[in-house]
Amino acid sequence: MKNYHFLTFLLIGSLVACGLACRPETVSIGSAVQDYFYLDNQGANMPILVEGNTASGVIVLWVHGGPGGTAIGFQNDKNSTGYLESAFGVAYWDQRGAGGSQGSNTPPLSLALYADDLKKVITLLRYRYGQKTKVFLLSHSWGGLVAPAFLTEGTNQQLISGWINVAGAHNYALNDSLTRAYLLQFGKTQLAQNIHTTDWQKIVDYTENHMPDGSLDISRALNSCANQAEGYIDDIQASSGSGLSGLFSSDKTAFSFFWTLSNAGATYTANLNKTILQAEYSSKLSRISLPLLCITGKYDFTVPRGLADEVMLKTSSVRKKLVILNHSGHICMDNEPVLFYREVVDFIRQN
Amino acid sequence: MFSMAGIYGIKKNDDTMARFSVLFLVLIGWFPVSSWAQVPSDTLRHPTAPVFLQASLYFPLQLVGAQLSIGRLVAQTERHTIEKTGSERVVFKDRIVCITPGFYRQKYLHTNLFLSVEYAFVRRHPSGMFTQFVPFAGVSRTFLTDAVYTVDANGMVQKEASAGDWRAMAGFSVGLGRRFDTHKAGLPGAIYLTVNVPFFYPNFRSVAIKPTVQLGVAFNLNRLSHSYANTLKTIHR
Repeated sequence: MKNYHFLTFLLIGSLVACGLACRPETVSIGSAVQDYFYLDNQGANMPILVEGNTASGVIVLWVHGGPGGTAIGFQNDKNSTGYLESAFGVAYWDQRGAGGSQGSNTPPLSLALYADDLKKVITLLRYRYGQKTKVFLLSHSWGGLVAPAFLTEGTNQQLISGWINVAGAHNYALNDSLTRAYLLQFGKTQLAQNIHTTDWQKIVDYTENHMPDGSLDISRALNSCANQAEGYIDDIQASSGSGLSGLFSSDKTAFSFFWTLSNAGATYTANLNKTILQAEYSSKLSRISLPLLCITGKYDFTVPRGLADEVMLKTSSVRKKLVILNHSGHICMDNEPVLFYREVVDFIRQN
Repeated sequence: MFSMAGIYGIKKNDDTMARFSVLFLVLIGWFPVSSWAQVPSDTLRHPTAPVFLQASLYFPLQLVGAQLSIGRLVAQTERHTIEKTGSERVVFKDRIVCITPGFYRQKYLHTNLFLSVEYAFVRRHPSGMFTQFVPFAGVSRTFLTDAVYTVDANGMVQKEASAGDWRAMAGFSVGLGRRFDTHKAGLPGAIYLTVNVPFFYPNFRSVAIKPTVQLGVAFNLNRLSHSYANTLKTIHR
């Protein structure tokens, strides 16, 4: 009989645990909140973690890189927590096919879907935290393609109080050309100075012999060269706690490593990567008129400065500012976090 | 069967000779395995064994869960190897089928209810220690752990109940355990520790992997017995 008592206990325990799965809705207005909820849109359930000072009436929404990165697992680090969350509410949204998002027979991934998701995330944030809440977009890298895809449509800009564009890739074809040119030019100067000669020679040889042709292979190879190049520059300030070691050692309470890995794989193999090679918002940037802050790293080969220059030139924003971080690469918020977040906080306070 | 006629064929021409040279080498290699380890006879019996229940817990990091399996032994090979020195080694190879309902819950991810069918390959020693490889397949339904909202084209927000996804699951587990030679009620028949590697499809038109560690106990239900095929093999080396 003891067997059956044990099994009955196990069954009841299972049912209780299942019941706990449906947790009540929590909307917190305070100086140190932590809310977690999902947006269900077109087959994808995307988690949103809101932390920090929602009583400020301001929410900074991270639009993470990738595609297939994670805001909850990557952007939600000690710097974002320390510099941003004390002043404002910060929303970490894992996009579809990224981080802790979940979906089954979803429509194929497309840039239009991401832009629609972003609009609905903003609508949901304002629904939960008040229609008067000021939402600022803080986009990085691939997020810098999603943001203009959203901002240049209809009246979407009215939902936003400002755009912080960090190393944004709003034009992939231009991006590849600029990456190649910068790698070649910088690589040759390094070779002339006998700095990391063997490593730079490989990069220069590749870039000299491969012009961007709209193919995914060359685009990815240039991206890989750009990542490697940062490792050969001593002037870049080392980031702390980033990368895989950071994921394992840090306190990521709302982060599932294997699910994130699965999503990254799903996105990496998706046809999306081919279609976005043709995506460009250079011709639509003039539609953007909201306050704008562009931040880029001096040694960012992945998304070179030329893209930020074009955004500064072509947007019709009256209030706009370009910040170059002189000791940073592509992940400039990790390389020079003090300068980075000071600029971000000042921009939000001014707008 | 490799016939002697084939061996005679070596003499016929060079091509055939080369072909049968390979055959000859295979035969040479096969000889120590098959001929030296003589199997005089296999004995098939149909004894009975109780149906058993397995209860187990999942526990890596933030994930907790449990499953309850009902299973039966479908076949067993009892292999006795008698060395030239006279010593004897015995290994049991069990084939077990289980039906398993279960769940796991990971905070900030989902609760996942699943039902799977498992076919276990168990290699067990007389001491009770065993290793196992268990392929499985089934179906799962996830339930998100926190509030879920939908936003329509007009910006209307609604809260959604029971959001989650149906998925097919398949995978395998590997592990080890100890079986206790007891039929006394209330005592576990076996304990085991396994690493499970389930794949769920689809997740954004691809697969998602969710490895878990599982600690379990098995109980015999002595009132429910059934017969199974027991093959006794005796091998003299």
